[in-house]
Amino acid sequence: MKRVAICAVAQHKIESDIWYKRFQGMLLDVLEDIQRQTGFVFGGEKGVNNIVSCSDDFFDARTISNNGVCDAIGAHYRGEDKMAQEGLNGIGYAMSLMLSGHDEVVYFPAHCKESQAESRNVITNQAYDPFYCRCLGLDFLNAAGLQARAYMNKAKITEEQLAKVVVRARQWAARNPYANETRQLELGDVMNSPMLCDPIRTLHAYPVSDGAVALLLASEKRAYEFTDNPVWITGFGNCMDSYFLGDRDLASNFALKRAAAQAYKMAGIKNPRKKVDLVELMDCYAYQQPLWLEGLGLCDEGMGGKFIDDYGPAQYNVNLSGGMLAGRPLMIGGLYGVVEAVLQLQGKAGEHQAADVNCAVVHSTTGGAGQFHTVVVLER
Amino acid sequence: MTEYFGTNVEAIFDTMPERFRPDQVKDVDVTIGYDITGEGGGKWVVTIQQETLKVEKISGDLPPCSVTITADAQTFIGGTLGKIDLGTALSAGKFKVNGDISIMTGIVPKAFKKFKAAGDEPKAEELISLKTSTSIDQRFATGPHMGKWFKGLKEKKFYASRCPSCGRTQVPPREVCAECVVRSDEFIEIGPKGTVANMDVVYYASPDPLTGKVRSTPYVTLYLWMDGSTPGECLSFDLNPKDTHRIKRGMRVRPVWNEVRTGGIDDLLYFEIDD
Amino acid sequence: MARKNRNVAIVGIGQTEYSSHKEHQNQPEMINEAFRAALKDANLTLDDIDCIVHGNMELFESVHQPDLWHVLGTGAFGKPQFRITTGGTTGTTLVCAADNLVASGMYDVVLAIGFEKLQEAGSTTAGITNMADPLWYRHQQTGALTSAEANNIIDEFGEDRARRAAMKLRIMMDKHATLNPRAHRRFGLEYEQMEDLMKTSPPLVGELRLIHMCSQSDGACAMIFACEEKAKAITSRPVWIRDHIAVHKEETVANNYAYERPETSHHRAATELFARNGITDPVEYFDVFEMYDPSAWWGLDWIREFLLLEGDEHIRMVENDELTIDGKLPLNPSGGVTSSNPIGATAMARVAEAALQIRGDAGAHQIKKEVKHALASGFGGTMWTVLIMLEKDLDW
Repeated sequence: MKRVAICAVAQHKIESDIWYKRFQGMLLDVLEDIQRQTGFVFGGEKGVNNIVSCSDDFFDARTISNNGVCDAIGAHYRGEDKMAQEGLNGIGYAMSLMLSGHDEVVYFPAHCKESQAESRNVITNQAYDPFYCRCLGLDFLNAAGLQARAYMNKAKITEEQLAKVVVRARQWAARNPYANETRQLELGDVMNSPMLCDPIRTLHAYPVSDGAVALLLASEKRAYEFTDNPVWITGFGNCMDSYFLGDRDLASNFALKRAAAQAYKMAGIKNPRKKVDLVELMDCYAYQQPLWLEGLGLCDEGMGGKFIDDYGPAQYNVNLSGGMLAGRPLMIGGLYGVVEAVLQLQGKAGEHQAADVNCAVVHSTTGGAGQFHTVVVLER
Repeated sequence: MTEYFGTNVEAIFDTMPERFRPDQVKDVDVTIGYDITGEGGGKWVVTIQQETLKVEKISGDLPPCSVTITADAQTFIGGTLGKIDLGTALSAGKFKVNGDISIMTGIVPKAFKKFKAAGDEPKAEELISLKTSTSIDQRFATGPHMGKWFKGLKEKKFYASRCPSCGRTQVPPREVCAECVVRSDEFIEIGPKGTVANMDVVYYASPDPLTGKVRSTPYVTLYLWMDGSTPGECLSFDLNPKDTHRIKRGMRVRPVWNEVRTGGIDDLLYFEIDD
Repeated sequence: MARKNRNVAIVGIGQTEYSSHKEHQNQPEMINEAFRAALKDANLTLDDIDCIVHGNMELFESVHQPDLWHVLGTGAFGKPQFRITTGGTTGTTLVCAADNLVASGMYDVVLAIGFEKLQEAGSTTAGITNMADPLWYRHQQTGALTSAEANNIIDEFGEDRARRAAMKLRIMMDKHATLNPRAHRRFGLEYEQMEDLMKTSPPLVGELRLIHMCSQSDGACAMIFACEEKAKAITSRPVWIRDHIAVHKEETVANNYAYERPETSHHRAATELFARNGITDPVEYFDVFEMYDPSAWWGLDWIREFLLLEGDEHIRMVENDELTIDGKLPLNPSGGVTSSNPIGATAMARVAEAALQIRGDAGAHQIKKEVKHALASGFGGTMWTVLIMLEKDLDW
């Protein structure tokens, strides 16, 4: 199979309330950044003719939410498809546009403001069926609470271990000029923070965040026109678990394991523990960091707690951006991970740069208690 | 009298007084003419005024009414009982509405309890219908460009943004020119008058998704070429109701401002014919 | 555009009946009905499907990320799945997505599902109005209802001729719908009713009357796509996807009614798609056109836009019965969108119906002449178009 590369990435600073710009303004900023880096144009034989976007109608409170940003993403008189899942899935889709031969260059802008609606939990409550689960008040927060309890029991995770995850996230976030929540914490701050949704404490949860991201992808034939440093997408996989929480083994990582297996297979990775140098995973809540690391095969099953104590996340350069825990909007949590991974692979991550990064894994999840997972492998 | 679906047209009108719900017709003042044609038909005028009801059978021609229904007896009875889909009958020309259709869709269903033919057994399984309204408060950002537009309205001014590349104007201002995909940070003042490029006379109003309110019809939406803007750009806004029947494409219009302006959409009341 | 990596065919089609009374099914059940029908049509099982693509307009049914709940009916449990939504064009976008995903080599067999349950929406028109900018245009927009285009057509051709052509087209579409047992609305209209309907059908906006406008339907459509090798093994009648194009337009819909009118996305899509496929005379080339016609007025106008006609050629095609099921270029033998509009499925149903025609499977609404070259369009958003070409044989 021919290859597809990410040639350039741009990110808008993540903040808790970007009240002073609307989506069109944020997307114009990241577009100009990508154009400065690559000189790409829209239209014509050599330009971008198809765009993959990502946004969510509920978060935007706008039917066909991509229609509002059409002008700012170059879609006027061009093709544009909206990814309606978390943005990382758009990487797979954009890949297919190029591997199929339909396009050679694709522009991929994405946006989400969690601050626009009065409550992101009211929105995620709407993901549940109107007959049973929605009436119970189930949303992605309390679904996560149930999963956290199941996982903490299985892997014997302690409060101190969870606190370590959060403290470390803030330490790295402080080195990332684009991160949202950089306030430094001590273990005690986290362990004593008020209960948000038992066993998830307020400081275990990712802060409400607004942001936007853009990427330029190109087929192997064209990649070097836009960058000296293309990052190849070598693996992609996604997978859907069942819907009712009672039908699932919440601590089993059923869907994540399958998604990761697909991605590793495509990338030819037989032993991820040897191959993977860096991980960006979507840890909306602290317990998810060790849980998803198990699902990605980087930590033994049920051993997430020990993994944290043994500096496992540091070994794999997990979330040097601060990760989801430092704040990212839900719909593009994975895409911000791609931005970080690409910068790391290109050696452009500044103060949070890791050494010898050749192979990165980026992860995202959509749905309550990780019902749907996506895994991407990026390499130099 | 000829029967359809186990009942006749007379029964529907005879039972109107007992089915009437005066508490549902506050501020209603309408006359409804019924011209039920063919076998089993007849003419009636129903008047609802000051929360009272009057049902009169008419011989001869129907007087002018707020709305007049014309249908054959079978369609009318079937529609009333719910055995015939009135929407379908309406589209197929079997059920005709002359006048304000919202009286039939909005007022009549509330004004009367449902008519049941004698001996009409309730269905073994009745559908339970859950109606819920999801309301999620939003704070929408204007950004600097829309912000400039609203500030302008407060000052009774219209601003457009202009593309530095092709010179095209955006009304209201937008961050970027869609054609050139280039930042449009230059603002120019346009209007205040404009020319009507096209227009829509709206008879069927739907609820505003943000407020749930339904506007009274008919009203006119104007598509305007504002003075000073490029001819490919179009501002749509309301027409002063007083001009509803005079307005034509090509006419010149001027804005009518709200006396109290806060920098929002209500600052501009509507446009009216500039004569 | 580079060469297509590998060929892709439609190997299975499943549609539910389109109606406004699907109280007997919830959303996943309705999807499942179409999904099973597609599997049966292709003689495949769930194990044969590598990936599922799902789409609708979620704010209508007010379910956030509906593919999560709908896994109960989509068969996506344990499998790869994508969700891509583009308003009214969603159904066609899903077809393009499936084509891209299979052609890319990432998946061999992809099942695409488009659906909508408008009955569960409070108000479809309000739901569509919700696409407008919340601070300005939402105040003005009346869903998909406008007479601005009708006004232009009347200006160009005279009120009488224009209104007759639009009404004749509407009746023609209904006549096709009466042959399609799945169509939502089959009124049984006759051409003799033209004068009467022109006068009495209640106007919604300007000259756009109730009879002209599409229905609000519930329904689902599922289609299975396979790579060439597998397609030939699965079915003796694969329908090949030759090419597709999507053309979007800027956010400000009102600009379409400006003093200087912009080129339509339909015209741009047709121009580019036909040029790159060497088609100089689309009326001659295509054997059927399933057009997404949300109203008889738009349908009338877009005949000219899509077929790259000039002057009054499109009106004459209507007047001379060239677009009937027995005509020169049958338009919407299924009855089209004015008969059935389950929005998330509608555009996909256009492709499904075009494919059925190529297969010779459409039943009572099958075109008698052989159908080798089909055109299908999707419409939505701020006047966007998706245009897809299907072929009976791999010989282009």
